Order: sequence, then C-alpha cells, then structure tokens
Amino acid sequence: MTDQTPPPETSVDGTAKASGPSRRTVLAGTAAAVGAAVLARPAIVRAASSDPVKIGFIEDQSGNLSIYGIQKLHAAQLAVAEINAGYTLAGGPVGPGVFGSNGLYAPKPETLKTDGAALDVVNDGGAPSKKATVVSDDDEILIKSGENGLLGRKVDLVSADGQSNNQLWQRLARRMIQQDKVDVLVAGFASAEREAIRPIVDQHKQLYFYTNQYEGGVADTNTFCTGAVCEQQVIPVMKYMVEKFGPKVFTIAANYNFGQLTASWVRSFAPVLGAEVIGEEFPPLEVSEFSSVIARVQAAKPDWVMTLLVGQNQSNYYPQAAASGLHLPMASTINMAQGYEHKRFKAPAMANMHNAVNYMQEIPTKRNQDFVARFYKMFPQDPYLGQMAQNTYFSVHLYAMAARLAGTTDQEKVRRTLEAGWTVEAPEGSVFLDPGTHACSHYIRLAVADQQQNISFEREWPSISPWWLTRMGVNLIGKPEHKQYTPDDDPFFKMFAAKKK
Amino acid sequence: MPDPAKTILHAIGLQKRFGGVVAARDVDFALTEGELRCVIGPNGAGKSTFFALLAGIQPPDAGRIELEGEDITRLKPFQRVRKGLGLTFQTNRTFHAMTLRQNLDTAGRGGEEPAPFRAALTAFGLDRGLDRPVTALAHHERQWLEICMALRGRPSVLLLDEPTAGMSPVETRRTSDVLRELNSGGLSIIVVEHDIAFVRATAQMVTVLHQGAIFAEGTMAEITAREDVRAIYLGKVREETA
Amino acid sequence: MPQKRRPNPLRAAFTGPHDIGRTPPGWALMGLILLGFLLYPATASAFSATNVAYYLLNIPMALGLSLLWGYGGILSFGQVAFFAVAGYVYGVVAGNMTADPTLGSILGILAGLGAAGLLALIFGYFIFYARVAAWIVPILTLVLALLLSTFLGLTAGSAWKVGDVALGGYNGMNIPSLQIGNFIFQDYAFYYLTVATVVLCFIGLRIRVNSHRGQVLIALREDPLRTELLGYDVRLEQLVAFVIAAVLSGISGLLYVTWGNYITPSVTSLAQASLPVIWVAVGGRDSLFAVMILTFLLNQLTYVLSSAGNQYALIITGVLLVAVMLFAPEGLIPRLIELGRKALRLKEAT
Repeated sequence: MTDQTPPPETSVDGTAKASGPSRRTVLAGTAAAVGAAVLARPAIVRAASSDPVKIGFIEDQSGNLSIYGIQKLHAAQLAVAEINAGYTLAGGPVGPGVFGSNGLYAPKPETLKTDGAALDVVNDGGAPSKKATVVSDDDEILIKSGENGLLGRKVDLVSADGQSNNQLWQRLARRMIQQDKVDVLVAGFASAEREAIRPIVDQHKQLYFYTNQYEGGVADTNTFCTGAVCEQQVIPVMKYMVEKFGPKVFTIAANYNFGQLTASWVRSFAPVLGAEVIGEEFPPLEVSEFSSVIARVQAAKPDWVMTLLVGQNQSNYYPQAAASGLHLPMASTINMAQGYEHKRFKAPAMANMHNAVNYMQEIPTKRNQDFVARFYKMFPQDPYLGQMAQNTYFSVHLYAMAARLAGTTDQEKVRRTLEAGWTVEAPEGSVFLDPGTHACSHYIRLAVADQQQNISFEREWPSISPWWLTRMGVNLIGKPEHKQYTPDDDPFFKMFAAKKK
Repeated sequence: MPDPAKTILHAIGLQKRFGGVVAARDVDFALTEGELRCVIGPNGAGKSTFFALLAGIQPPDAGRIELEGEDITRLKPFQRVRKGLGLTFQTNRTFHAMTLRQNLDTAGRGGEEPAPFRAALTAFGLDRGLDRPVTALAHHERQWLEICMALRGRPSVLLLDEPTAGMSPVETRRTSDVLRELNSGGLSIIVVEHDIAFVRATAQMVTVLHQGAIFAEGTMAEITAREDVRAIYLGKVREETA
Repeated sequence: MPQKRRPNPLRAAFTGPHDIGRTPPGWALMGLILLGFLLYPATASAFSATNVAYYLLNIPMALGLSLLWGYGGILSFGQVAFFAVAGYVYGVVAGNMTADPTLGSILGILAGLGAAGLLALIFGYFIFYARVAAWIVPILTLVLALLLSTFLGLTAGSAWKVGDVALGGYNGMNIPSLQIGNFIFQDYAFYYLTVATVVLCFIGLRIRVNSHRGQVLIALREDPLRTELLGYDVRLEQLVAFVIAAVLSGISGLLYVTWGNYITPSVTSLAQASLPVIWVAVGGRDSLFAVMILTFLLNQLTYVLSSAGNQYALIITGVLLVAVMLFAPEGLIPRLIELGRKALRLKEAT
C-alpha cells in the first residue's frame, strides 16, 4: 500500500466508527475518549500523495532569542535533509517486552490498517525488526529508513521567523495551520510563545511538538513536549551540589514564569535532598546590574548558588559576580546548554558552573560526535549546537518515524501512534516518549565548567523520566486535557509555600 | 421689568495679589438690575483681574461675589455662566473650526433662543450666512459674534471685556448702539473698556479703577469733572489721542 | 435666523458636518465598502477571513482615540492599557466560568468593558479634575500603559491566580472564545461579529460627534477656556470622552483575546502603545471615516509584512507616520480627498 491517504469520505466514516463499539485495538480507550472530536480536519485539506509532507516550523530567527532559534532551525533542517536522503533514527514503538527496550521497526509495515477497522501500533507483521536490542553509545543511530522522504513523499520544512514577538507567533501559527495546512507543527522557545499558540493548536487539533526545555506541566492532547522538565534537571543537580558542596543554597531566579516555577522546585525539594534555601532573589528580566544581589549573596554565605537567570541582560550577572570576587560554586538548569555562555563569556565568568543537561555538543560519545560532525558539515559557520537544537532534531525524526508506522500523515492517527510510547535513539542517548503525558525521559548528564570553561561530565543518569505529570494523574490517552499544571496544583509544593520569604 | 433698586451683581471686598503686585484691593462693586456700566482705567489698573475675578477664572484671595443675591465666589466659571453670567473675551475667541451656526449652537447649551440674542444677531447683520465658517468673517464681525454667543446662553448679566478692541469708529458706534438697545430692553451689562469715545457714547455709570482699587465712580460727566481722574487717566488719554 | 432643529440622530450621523462622507458619493463609497466586507467570506477561506477580522479588530480602539484626540484634542498614548484590562478581565471571568460558557462570555464582556471604563473613570478623574496641562496627558497615559505592562509581567507567581485562572506573567493567559449556547464565534462567525462591531462603533461615534455633545467636544479642542465660559463643565466633558474612548479600546481588547484566545503583557508595551496614535494620525485624526480605513490598511500592512518574515514592519509604520506628518499633517485621507477635489475643479475649469 503506497497510497495510504484515504479518500475524503473515509475520515467522516472514521469519525463515526471511532466512537463505535466495533473498534478493538490497544488504542480503543483513546478513541472512545476523544470521541466525536476525532478527525476534525476537513476532508478538503487532505493532500494528494505526491504533495510533500509539510513540517511547520516557527522559531525566533531574529530578535532577543535568535541565538537559540537559529540553532533549532538548523537542527530541523538537518533532520529533514536526512529523512529526504533516506535515513531515520534508530528506535521504535514500545513493543512487547521490557519497558524501555529499544527495537527497530520495519520501515513500511504492512500491518497498519487504516481502513478504520484497526490501528495497530504493534509491529506484528511484515519484516520483523532485526536488531531489537538496546542500542549502545557507540552504535550508529542514523540508519536507513528504506525510502527517500516519508511515505513516498518529500518532506518540506515550512519555516517562519517569530521575531520574539508573541502576537506574530499567533499569526504564524494560524498561517501554518489554516493556510499552509502543515502536517505537524514544531515550534516554540519561550513558554510564552508556546502558550500563545497552544490555543490555536487546540482549536484546530494540530499535532504539535514543543522541543524546548521548560518548567513542565503541559498536559495537552495535541502537544508533545520533548524537552527536559524541572524534575529531570533540578533534582539531579541539587543532589550533586549538596553532596559535593554542602546544604546551604541561595537561589537567584528571573522574575518570570520559568524562574519562579523552577525556584519553587528548588525550594520544595530542598528538604528532601538535605538542602536548605537560605535566600532567594527574583530580579526582573530587564535588570542588568546585580551589585546589590551579589552583596546579599555574599552576606548570606551559601555553600553554592542556584542561578536561573534568563536572557541577555541577566547574563551580565556572571561577569559581575566574578569581578566582585564571588567565586561560589554555581548550579543552573539553563545556562551553557542553550546559550553557550561558556563559549561566549571570557573565562572564568562561568567557571565552577554545574548544570544537569540532557544535551551539550561536548558529550563525548561516538553517536553524538557523529551527530555533531554531520551538523557542522551542513552548517560550518554555526557557533554552537545546543540542547534545544538536539531536541528539535530527534523530535523531527520521531515524527517521521511515527508517521511512517502509521502509514499516513493524518494527524489524529499519527498522534495515536505516538501514544504507543516511543523510544528514539537520540544523540544524547535513548529518549523515551511517555504515552500518557506526551513528555520524554532523558539521558541527563551533569556538565561542569572548569576555570578555562571547558566542559566535563561528572555524573550521568541514563534515564530520568518526567514523572511529575504522571504523579498529578495525567493520562492523556484516557483523559484528554488542554492545560498546564503548576506546582500549586500539587499539595506537596504547598507544604513548602510557607517557607517563601 | 428691571428693578433699579435691586443689586444684580455685587462684589464685596475683593482682594487679589500676584506675588508682590496687588491686582485687586478692597474692590466693592455693585451693579443694579438693568444698568449699563463701564469699567475704565489705565493699563495695569486691574481691569483684567477684575474681569477674571468676576468670571471665576481667578479665585479671589479675599472677598465675596454675589449674583442675584446668591454667593458665587466658590463657583467654577461654567457654573457662574449657568447662573446667568454671559462673557466675552478681550481677544477674539470664537471657534475657528466651526461655522457661525455651530458657534452659536455650542453657546446655546441646547436651550431656547432668547429675544435679546435674536435682536442682536439681526442688529449686527449676522443672521444671514449662518453656515459660513467663522474664518470668513471680518475682525469686527467676530467680535459681534462673540457678543451674540454670550447672549445666546440667556445671561442676566453681560460682562464684556473690551468688545470694541480693534474696531473702526463706525463699528464701535454700532456696537455701542446695539449694547444700549439691549440695555434698554432690560439687560444688565458691564463693559470693561479702554476706548473713551465708546464709553462716552455708551455708559450711564462709570467705574474708574486705579492700582487695583476703585478710584472713582459716577456718571461720565461727574468722572470727567474730577481733576484727579483726569490726572491719572483721562489727561493721558487725551494726550495720546491728540 | 438659526432655528432649533433636532434632527434624527441616525440622519445626523450621515449628514452631520463633523466627518467626511456626508453626501451621496460618500454614502455610496461606504455602502460599497460594507458590501465588500459582507460578501468577502464567500470567496475567502476561513483563514483569510480570520486574518481580515484581525485587521478590523483594532478599529474600535482607533475610533475611540480619534474621538478623544482628533475631536476632543486630548492625546492619549495609553489606549492599549484599556485594551489590555478588558482582555485580561474577560479572560479571568470567562476562564472561571467554563462550566457555563454562555454566561461566562456575557459576564466576561460586561466585566471587561466595565473594568476598562472604570479604570478610565478613576484615572481620568485624577487627570482632568487636577486640570493637568494638556501636554502632560500623553505622558501620564503612556506611563499608565507601561506600568500596567510591567505589573502584568510580574504576575508570574502562584499568588497571581484569580479563581482557576492564572494571570501568567510574561507567559500570558489563555482565554476562552466567545460562545453562545453551543455556538462558538470563530472563523467566519468571528469575522461577521467583528464587522458588525466595527459598523456599530462607527455609526455610534458618527451620531456622537454630530450631536450637540460632539460639538462641545470640538469646541473643547479649539479652546477649553472659551468652552468653559460658555457654561460647560470642561472636565466632565473630557472625562466622558476619555471613558468612551477607553470602552472602545476595551471592545478591541475583547475582540483581540477572543480572536487569539491569548493575551500577554506585551500588548501594553511601548511599541504597542504607539500604534493607535500612528493609525489615527496617519489616517487623519479628525475624521472617523479616514481613521477607520487607515487603521484597517495599516494593520493589514504590518500583518502582511511581519508574517512574511519582515522584521521592519514597525519601522516602516514609523517612517510612514513621519512622512505623513511632514507632507500631509492633517492626515493621508483628508489630503487625498483635497487633492482629488482640486483635480476635479481643475478639470471643470478647463
């Protein structure tokens, strides 16, 4: 079956049948829950099979956040080029067997029935996978997909520049969804950008990947958040810092959503990890002069400092702290891995910085160094290949893998295929897409910058799952949702709210 | 009919200082109903301050103003206008972006057209071409339009600040005629004026201001007879006009 | 002899002296434009109709500023503050009432517009009753907008939650669509709602400016002291115009948040605050009709430019403002009409 695009009327039938009792697949629950909302895209939008598969891509290629956006764009371009050249990443849906086992799947399975009777995500037919074993760090992760492009079609990256302007983001999202009719949308650096377009995404039931590290909590049927979240980064780095430097921590966090929420994770988990938050400062985003903050940190005499500073203005903290002789060990979840401050600032501004990252280009494994080589071959002028770029890269591949298995670009079906749960062998290591929360487990490494700001990885956590939404009872397969949970929704965090100074 | 025994506008002990300059000093001033009074004085005598105090543009430092027996000292200018004070400015302040009709409509506050207004409009020859823009009018016509605007608001006292400034003798004469006509119809009028020819032709009673205080009061004949008044004012004017 | 005439207000709206387009050719043009907008969805996709709705939705705010500035002589740089307040309040009310979306929408609209009007009433009271000098008003209103933007940016923490709805700081706030029963105003329905709102605001303001109160407002612009000495409470008249303009900004704010289902503090940023002034000044501030047309065209221009990836949309708009202020200070459309009339006269003369 090469032409897997059903005729228009099928989608209408499919909708009716989806809520009917005849459907008996592993995804029956999802189908029932989604109910009449399924397949809401009008029949007219379905493209002929010869049309390219369109990946809509919005990032800030200019404005404040462009140093991140351009990296992400280039990573997406690399992934699309690889797909069109006949490659895919190793990995596949979670099959029978051990949780987290990594299997390869057949590039074009014949068992996937799109006639409405069954949507079987388990590869129970066709050519069986030959290498259904755990992929090691040294294995080649870029493998042949068996076709150039996706489902016999070329893949196009439809990209737009959001210019770090939320209103423009909304317009671009509308254009991508309603006019360009993209098959999947990959977009968003700042949480504000994601929140700006998520209502539009939900309104049109658009399959959407948000590939950034973020504060966590998004539980949205249409959205897959593939970046690392607080529980995957804050807790490991705190644990390490407490063990190595001592319990007393001083938090300096940007006074906006990401900073506030991450600081509340630090505050709430401090007692569990044997740490003690002895001070907190929330400088506004536009502040670039930190002498009073630095003085308060010095007076408080912490063992280490948690810096959750964001943007160009706030990065001035590091040279200022170094100049004032504040040489305390620092921890963060954001610096270096995205904005490559260790490459941009003169040493030793970032010396003694510790960050639990899911990716930095310095990761020494062969699979990563191969990836880095491929990236710089395509973009030799680029200054850095960071965490968000890597997330974008594997997310684009992940979409192609799922669509190929689903045998269609029908967004509803691809989404349900993704909800099988997927392992993808990313440059960082194995990444597992959790079906119930649409979030990814990550291979976390503790990156440390030395006096020359060279990076080494002091500790590794090969798989940390994004457990918090599960703990909150989120299961998007059983219960569709379109919201963002915050720590306020969790009684655990309330226990420590009183400690807020 | 106007009652000559009734004081319609009464200022009692008005004081106003601007820094070290005393602009109004114990001004006691009473206008009886149906009176046409001219207030004269050399430059700097306090005429403008007197006008501003009556209009409410400046609050007095001390003293009281009564209109028809009611204390209006603390009222804002627009409230005084609603109580029956009609005002025109020394410099022409019609609304240039509007037609004559719009100017007059604005001045009417949505009320009926009073008889004195209609009479003045006809007498000044402004009743034709009401849809002309104000900018089409000659200087003296705009002055007249201002008087008509003040009348349109149904005032019981008309307070005019140098209404004939910049007019030719013929126009000044016509202004004087119309004002006397209005006054004979019962309207109380105060004219703050510089032009002695006009005052001579118009006023029944004259108040002379000097250095912020009332220097003399009386009929034109009485005033002109006074040596001291001539000394401070009239003599100088004669020299100038000579 | 001027007769007391009280023309029918709707008639006055189309024949009154205080805007262009009061004669049959003007009416014909308006009718054609309206007809074009009514028929447009027949040929356009839902996406295009939604975009056009976006170009239209700022018109009430621009018309309000035209009333306030062009007719009343009071320049406000803070109209976006009322836009934001209405949007946020609607979001909080409707967001807390998702169980009953119809009631949530209705109460959200009332509360949003009420809050915008109330803020204008309080703020305007202090401005106008303190009789601050006219040139300070733009600065104070701009400060209001920027303060609001800064404040909203600081509402990231969990303390800033109203019921179920978090204000959200820089991340902004998600907002439900307008919904009556099971009918959700989106795509074509939203387009027609926007067109109808714009038409009603336009006609309403044409009635207003051509009424006695409108004339007083113009008198106020020309000479506030003279107006006061004709017996008008200048401060009250200014305050009323300020509140009307604020509520109109609120209407735009409501349309905006129900268009994009989202609002952030950036809607009251410096750049955003300057935009209404630019639309109104470029169009011709003392003509509602000109302001309406130019607001549509300029919104379309910036939208198309920025959506096409052009980063200089704001700069282009700014350059346009400077050019118009230099070469046609009365506004682009009044100047074009004047040039057209001249050309016509020239033709007749030859």
